[in-house]
Amino acid sequence: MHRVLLPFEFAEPTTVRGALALIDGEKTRALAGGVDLVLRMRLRQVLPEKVVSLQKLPHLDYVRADDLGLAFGALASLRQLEASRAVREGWPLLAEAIGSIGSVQVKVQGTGVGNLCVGTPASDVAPALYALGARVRLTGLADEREIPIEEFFLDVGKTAVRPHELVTEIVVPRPPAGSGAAFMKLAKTSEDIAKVNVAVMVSVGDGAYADVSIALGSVAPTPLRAVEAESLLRMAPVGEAAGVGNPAGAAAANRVSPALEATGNPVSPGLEAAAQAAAQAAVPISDVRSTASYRKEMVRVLVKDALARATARALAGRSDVQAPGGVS
Amino acid sequence: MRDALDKNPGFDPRSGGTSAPSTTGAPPATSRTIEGEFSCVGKPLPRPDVAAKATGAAVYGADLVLPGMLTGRILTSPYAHAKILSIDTSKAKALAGVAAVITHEDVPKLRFTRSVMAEGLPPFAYEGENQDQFILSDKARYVGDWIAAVAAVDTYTAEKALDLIEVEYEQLPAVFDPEEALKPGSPIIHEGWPGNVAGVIDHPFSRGDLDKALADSDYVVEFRGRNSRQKQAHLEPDVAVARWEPDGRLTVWSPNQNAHLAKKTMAQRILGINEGDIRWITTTVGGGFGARLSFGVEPVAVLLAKITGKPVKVFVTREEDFSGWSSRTEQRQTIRMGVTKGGTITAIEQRILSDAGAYFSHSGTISAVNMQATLGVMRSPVVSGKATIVYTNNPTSSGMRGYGNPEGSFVLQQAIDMAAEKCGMDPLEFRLKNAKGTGEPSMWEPVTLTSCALETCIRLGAERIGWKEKWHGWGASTGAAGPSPGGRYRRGVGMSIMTHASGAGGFLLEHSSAIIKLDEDGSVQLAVSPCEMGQGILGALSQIAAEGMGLRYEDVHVITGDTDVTLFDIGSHASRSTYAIGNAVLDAARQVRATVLERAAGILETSPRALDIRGGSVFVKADPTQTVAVAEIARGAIYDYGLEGRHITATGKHQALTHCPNFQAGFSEIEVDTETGVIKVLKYVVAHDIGRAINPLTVESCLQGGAYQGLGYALTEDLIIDEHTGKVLTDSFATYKMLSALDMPEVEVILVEEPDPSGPYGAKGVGETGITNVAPSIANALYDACRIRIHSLPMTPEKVLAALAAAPQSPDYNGG
Repeated sequence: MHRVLLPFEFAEPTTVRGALALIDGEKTRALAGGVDLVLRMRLRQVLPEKVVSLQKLPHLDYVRADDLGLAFGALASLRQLEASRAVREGWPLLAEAIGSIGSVQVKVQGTGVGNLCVGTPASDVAPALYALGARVRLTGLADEREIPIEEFFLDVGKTAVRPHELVTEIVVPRPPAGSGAAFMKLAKTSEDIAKVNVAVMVSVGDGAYADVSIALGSVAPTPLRAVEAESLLRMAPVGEAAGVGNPAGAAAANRVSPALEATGNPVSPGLEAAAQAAAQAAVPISDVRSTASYRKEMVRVLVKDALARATARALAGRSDVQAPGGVS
Repeated sequence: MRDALDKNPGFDPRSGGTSAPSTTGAPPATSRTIEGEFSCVGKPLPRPDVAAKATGAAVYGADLVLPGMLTGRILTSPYAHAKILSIDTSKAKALAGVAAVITHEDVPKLRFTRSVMAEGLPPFAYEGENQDQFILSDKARYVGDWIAAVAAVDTYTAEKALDLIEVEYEQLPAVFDPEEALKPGSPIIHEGWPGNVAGVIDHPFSRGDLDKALADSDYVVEFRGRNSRQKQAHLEPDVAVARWEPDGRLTVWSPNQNAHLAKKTMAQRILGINEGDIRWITTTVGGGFGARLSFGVEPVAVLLAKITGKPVKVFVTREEDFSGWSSRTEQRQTIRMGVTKGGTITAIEQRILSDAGAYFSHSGTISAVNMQATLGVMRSPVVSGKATIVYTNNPTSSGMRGYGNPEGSFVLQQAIDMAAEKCGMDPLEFRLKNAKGTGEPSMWEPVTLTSCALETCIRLGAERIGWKEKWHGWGASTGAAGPSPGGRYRRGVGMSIMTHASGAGGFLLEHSSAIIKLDEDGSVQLAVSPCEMGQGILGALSQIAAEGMGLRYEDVHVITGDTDVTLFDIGSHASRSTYAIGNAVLDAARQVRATVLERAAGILETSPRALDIRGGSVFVKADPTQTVAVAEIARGAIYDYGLEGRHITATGKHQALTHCPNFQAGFSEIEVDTETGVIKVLKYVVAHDIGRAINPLTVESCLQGGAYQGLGYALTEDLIIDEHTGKVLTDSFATYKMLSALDMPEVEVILVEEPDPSGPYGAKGVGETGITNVAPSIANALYDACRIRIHSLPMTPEKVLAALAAAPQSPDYNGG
C-alpha cells in the first residue's frame, strides 16, 4: 500500500491538437477532473508514464441547448450539467441521474465526459444517456467521428476511445413531445456507487406507448438497453400505471429513493412483464456492494417503478425536476 | 433538547439538584453554588479546542515536523497465514536515502498486547490478557500483519524501499470463521494457544440454577445474533513520532487515548526501561472511538528512532488502517430468557463467541464488558454468562465505542421483545417492569445504583416517538397510512434500553487527579489527563473548574496531553472523563476557592464563611458591594514580599468507589419497502440519563454523533473480508460505507437530568452510549413492521428481502 504517486510526466496542452499529439497509447492517460484517475494511480491500479491534463483546453466546458438537442463539452462538470436550466427543462432525465450522485464535491470536480470515459457500468450518467439516445463525438488527429453511446462502452473499463483520440462532445437529441422519463437507483448510501440503476424514457400518444427506452446500469460489463422489455411495451396501451393521478405519487416523483412513494394504484400487467424481461437481460455480479441475485431482482423492481413514474410524468406533461441545492 | 426537566414534576433543574428524586436522601454536596444557580455549569459554552480545529491551526501528528526527522513506513503481509522463510533487505538498505530497514530479527524479544488500556486491570485480571505479539511479526497471521519497516528521508524513498524488500513466504492454511477455528484440525494461529482458544471468561455475577429456572419458566425465548466489524473510522489515520533525546529519554507524540498507560506499556512491556525515561505527548486527536485504546504505530516509530538516532514519523494510509488492528470485535451471541406469564424475567443466559482476529488486543475485556452491560440492565434472579474468545486469521479487533454494549444489546433487546410478545405485553411495559432501578445492584456488583432515570427516559422517549399512537400491538402490521396488513411500504416502531458505566470504578484502576494554578491575573491553569478526541471534555472540565472556583469560563486555560506535566490517569474511555476527572477538578477547584476566601477574608475583615465568589470577584454575601477581585488576591499572593508569598495551587483527586451507571432509552420509527428491502429510518429519539449536563450542547452533540454511528452500524457499516484470502475488501471510504448528511433521519435528543450524588454537579457519563440503542430499536421496529427478525448486522436490504421471503406472510402471524 502506498501513499505517494509514482513519478509521471505531466503535460497541460492548450489546444486539442496539442493534446491529441500527446495522447499516444496505453502508457498515457488523459485527465479531465481526475476523480477516478488520481485515486487509481495512488492505488497503483494504473501506472501511466504520462498524464495529459485537459484542464487548460479552451472552450470545452460548454453546455449548449437548441431546438435540435443538447451538446456538452469534455470539460463540462457534472455540477454544471445538473445545475443547467436547459438540462433540467429539456433533459430532466439527465439532471435526475446526476442529481442521484450524492457528493457535490465530486460533481464539481468530475466531468460528464470523464464519468463516461472511466468505462464503468455503474455510471449514473450513462444509463440516462442510453435512454436518451445520446451520441459520442470523438476527435482524432486526422478526423472526427460520432458513434451512438451504446457503441462507446465495450467492457468493464474499456471504451471505444482510440490512441490519439479524445471524446470532445456528447450530443443528446431532444426528447419527443409527450415523453416522460425517470431515473432510479439503489445504493448503500446517498454517496455510494449504484448497486443497480435504471433510466427509462417513454413517449405516450393516443393511449399507447409510442416509444420506450430502458437502460440498466451496474448489472453487466457495460450499461445495457433492455431491448426485449422495450419491445414488449412498444405500441402497448398505457395501463393504469402506479402514481398516475395520485398526489402522493406526484409529490414523490422526483425523489431518487422510492421509499416513500405511495402505491395506491396497481401496476399494469404490461409494466410487470416488461420489468421481468428487463431483469432477464441483466447479468450482474456479486461484489462488496450487493449480490448478483439481489441486483437481478432489483432490476425488475426499479424498471417497474421507473416505468410507472415515467408514464405518470408523460401523462402529466411535466417532469418536475427541481434545481439542486444551492442552485437557483 | 432538555425539556425533560420541565416535564418531570417534582424536579427543579435550577435547584442544583437538591430536589432530585434521589433515594439516597442526601443532596449532592458538590452541586450547590449561591442560590443554587450556576454560572458555567449547564451552559452551552464554546469548547476551547474548536477554534484551532475549525481554522486548521490545530497540530495533528501528521503536521508535526522535527529537525532531521525521517519518514517510517511499514511492510505488511499479503497473506493471511504464512511462515516467513526469509527476508532480504539488502536492496532496500542500499537505496539512497534509506536510514534503516528492520524486521522481526531487530525487535525486542518481549511479547506484548496492543491494548494499553489493559494496564488499568488489576493484576489477576491482567493475567488473562494474552501477550501474543512482537512489534514486527515472525509469522504472518492476517493480511496486513506487520513484517518489516523502513525509515528514510522522505515518504517516496520509504515506499520505494518497501517495494525492494524481498520476503519469501510459505503460505499456511488459514481460518476466518471463529466456529471453524475451534474445530479439531484447524490451522493453529499461535503456538501457545492450542485449539485457537484465546480465552474463556465466565461472567463473575452468574448466579442460580439456570436449567431449573428455564424449565420452571412459563416461556423461554432464544435469539442468536451477530454484529458487524464496524470500523472506528476516525478522520485522522494513525500516526506517531518518536525521538530519543540527548539525555537518553524518549519522547513519543501520538493520538493515543491513554497517554499514561501507553507510557507504562512502552516502558515495561516493550523496551524494558523506566517509565520516567519516557515523555508521552498527545497530539491533537482526530477521533478515537476506541481505536486509540491500543497501540497503533508508536512501537515502530520508537524502534526506528532508536536505530537511526533520528526522530521518525510513522504513518499509515487509510487502506492500511482499514486492514489493520482496530475494528469492533465480531461476536456471535445467543441469549436465552425465561419469563413468567405475568411478564417477569426469571433467567437470562448469554453465550458469546468472540473473534479476536489474529491477536488478542481488546477481545477479552470487551467480552467481559458486554456481559456486564447486557446481563446488568434487567433484573433477573438467575443469570449466566460465558464468553469464548477465538483466534482467527482475520484482522485484529479492538475496542470500539460502546465496548461490547452495542454487540450485546442487538441480541438482548430483540430477545426482550420476543419475551414481551410471548406474554402479550407491550414491550415498553415489559421493560419498565423488569428494568433495574435506584437501590438495586448495578452492572458490576456489589455497587448499587445511586440514581437511575431510566423510567423517565422511557416515558419521555415514548412520548416523542408517539409510541401510544404508533405501536398497535403484537401482530398488527402497519402500512404507511396506518394499520393495514398488506401493502408495499410498512411502518413500524421499536425501542431499546441500556445501561453503561461512567468509568470503571470498582473494577479498573480508577482514580484521577487534577492540578490547578491560580496565576497572578486571576486566570488559572488547569492541568488534566483526559484525551480530547472531539468529545469536548476540555470544555466540560473547564466549566467545572470555573464553577467550582467562582471564576469566569474564559479565565480557565487547560493543559493536557503531556505526561511530564499532568498527573497519572487511565485516559479517556468508558464514558469516564467528565465523571472521574470532573470530580478531581472540582476537588482542586474547591481547595483553590477555600484559599482565596481565606485571603479575601483578611482583606474584607470578615470570615471566609461570609464570602462568596462569582465572576472572578469575591464579595460579602450580606453586602455584595464589598468586593475584592480574585486577581488581586492571586497577585498579592505571588508578589508578597513578606512571609506569606506563594503561588496558589491545588491538587485535586478522585477515587472512584462506584462506576455510577447511566441509562438510556432509544426509539426508532422506520418504513420498509418490502420490494427492495430498504429500511428507511424516519425518526430516532434518544433519551439519556445524564445526571447533569455540564455542557448540554456537547452532550447533545455526543448523542447525535452516537446516533449517526449507530445508524451506520445498523444499516451499512461492515468490514467485508474475502472468505478465501482474508483480505479486507472494504478498505476505503469508497467501499466501507458510512452514512452522509443526506442519509440522516431526524434525530431527537432528550437529556434527563436527575443528578447523581457522586458525580461532579451530579453528572454521569455519556460518550460510549449514543450508539447502543440504535440498531436494536431498528431491529425491533422491523419486526413491528414486517414480522421478521434479522440475526446479523448490518441489516441490509438483501437480508431484509431474504427474511421476508422466508417469513410466513399471514398478517396475523404471531411470531415466536
